[in-house]
Amino acid sequence: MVPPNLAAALAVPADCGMTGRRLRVAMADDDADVLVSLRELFTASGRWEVVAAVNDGIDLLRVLDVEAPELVLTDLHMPNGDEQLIERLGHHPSRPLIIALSAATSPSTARRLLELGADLVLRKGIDRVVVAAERLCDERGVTPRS
Amino acid sequence: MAATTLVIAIASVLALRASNDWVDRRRVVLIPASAQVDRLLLALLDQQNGSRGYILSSNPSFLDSYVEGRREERDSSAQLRALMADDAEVIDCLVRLDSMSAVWHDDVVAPQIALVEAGRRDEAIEIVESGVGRESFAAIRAELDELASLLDVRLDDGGTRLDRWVTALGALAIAGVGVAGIATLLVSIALRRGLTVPLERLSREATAVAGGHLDTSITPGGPVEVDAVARSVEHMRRILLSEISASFNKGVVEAEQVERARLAGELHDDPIQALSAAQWRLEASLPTIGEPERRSLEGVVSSLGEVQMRLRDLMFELHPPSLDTDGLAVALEDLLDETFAGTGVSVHLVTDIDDGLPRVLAGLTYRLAAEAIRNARRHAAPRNLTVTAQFDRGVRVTVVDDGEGFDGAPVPLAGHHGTQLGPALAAAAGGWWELSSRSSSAHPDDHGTTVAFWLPLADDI
Repeated sequence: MVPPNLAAALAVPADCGMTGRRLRVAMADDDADVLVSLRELFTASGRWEVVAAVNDGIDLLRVLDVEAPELVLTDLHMPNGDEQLIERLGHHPSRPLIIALSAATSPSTARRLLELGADLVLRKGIDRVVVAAERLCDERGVTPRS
Repeated sequence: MAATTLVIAIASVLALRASNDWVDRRRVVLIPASAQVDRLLLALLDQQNGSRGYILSSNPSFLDSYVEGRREERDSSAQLRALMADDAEVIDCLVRLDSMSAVWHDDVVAPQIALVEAGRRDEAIEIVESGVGRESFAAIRAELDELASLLDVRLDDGGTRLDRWVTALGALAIAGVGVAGIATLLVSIALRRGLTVPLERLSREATAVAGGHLDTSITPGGPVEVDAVARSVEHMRRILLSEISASFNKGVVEAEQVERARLAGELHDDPIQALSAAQWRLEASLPTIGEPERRSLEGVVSSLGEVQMRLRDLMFELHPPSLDTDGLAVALEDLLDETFAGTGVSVHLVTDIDDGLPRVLAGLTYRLAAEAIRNARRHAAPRNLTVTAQFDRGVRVTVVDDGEGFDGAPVPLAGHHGTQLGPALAAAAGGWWELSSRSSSAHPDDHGTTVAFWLPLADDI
């Protein structure tokens, strides 16, 4: 559950998508602390613009409709956020790079997520998320869309 | 077999009866007949000697021998006819002999005696010297020899037949012994199939059940009494299994499994998430912090990552999430992948278990299998490891490695809980757990360790 007083913190900034050269990322997790810290982590790197931080899979899909970020990070244990969400993200017209984040991903689950459309599966707290995201973008030749 | 035995028995009886008949005929008929032939010859010789003596000496005392000879001749001839009445050839010979004797008597001997009694002895002697009587008597002797020869033939024929029957009886005896041997063998085989095998099977299976292998079904069959015992033991096994399973489902083991799953969920939802958030916040602040403090905080970030790694391992050890979402087979496959990744060990998972296993049973099965797999990784140094998990009125699992192994009882090692915990947990659940091992030093060509266990399904009966 996201505490009400975090709604403002999780709101998309007014200048989302207006900063030009930075890669844009949308993120989703129903744990408020995780979401805030993840946003801080990407913002602090200087290369990323966080265009959305939501706590529901449906909201994440709406963000894609509007913002078309280059990268999506999503948890798999949140409302409307399971393996089906990965499949829907993979088939979205904007087709961002997709990183699935989980606290407990088994090898079989990771394989399945990759088959469904995820580009990377990372373990929370263990894998270096920002480093892995930037490497993925470099490997795929992804640059800011606007 | 019974028909063959009956035929041999009847043939033996017939052979015995026939041989007895021939023995009786030889004793009662043929031998007395031969004696009568000898008696007949003596009677004829007495007549010849008596008549000659009287003719040559005119002494009437010689006639006694002649008269006695005639009486003996009639008597022996009559007895021969009576004895050999069923033998036409002998009777014919006797008829000829009587006729020739009558001619010899009437035409030769009686006229000579009459001449001597009339005082005409010289005429009688002339007749004797003419040889008429000698020729006639020689003919009688020849016929008598023929008669004796006929009887000898019958005696010899009887002996030959007797020998034949004795031979036949011997053959029948050998055949009887053979048939008896085969019959004994067949009875032995029938007894083994019908009695010994069911008894041995019952003993073996009942011993296994008594030893705690409640997954061993008792096979019915055999004689009525053995079948009844087998069915009773099987009934008892099912009751035991039912009670243990019921106890298991409501008991401590189930509660413990549920608690482990709950703790794993708690670890996933709370501590790991909180630590991740803290770690990322620290990471985010690193660029704004000066050098000495920054290095220190990087160490904290690294430590937080290590703590999360351990918590994640603990969470998987308690109850891997894939066990609930994907089932036992996938969870075991994940465990093998993670445990032996990068080791070069060849791992194989063989299973027919789908994801429909009851949660508690799946959890306990995973726990015992995982313990054996981790122990193989830590202590055995195998080149190959095979895990087999199959439905068998519950779950039967084997974990086989070709590692260093050991002989005798396993040496307790730090963190090596499987050999104590496995049997206890399996027994508490109504199953069993066994470990066998052969050391590479003592068995260089066939070494390694096998852990096998079986856990019952609650509704097994």
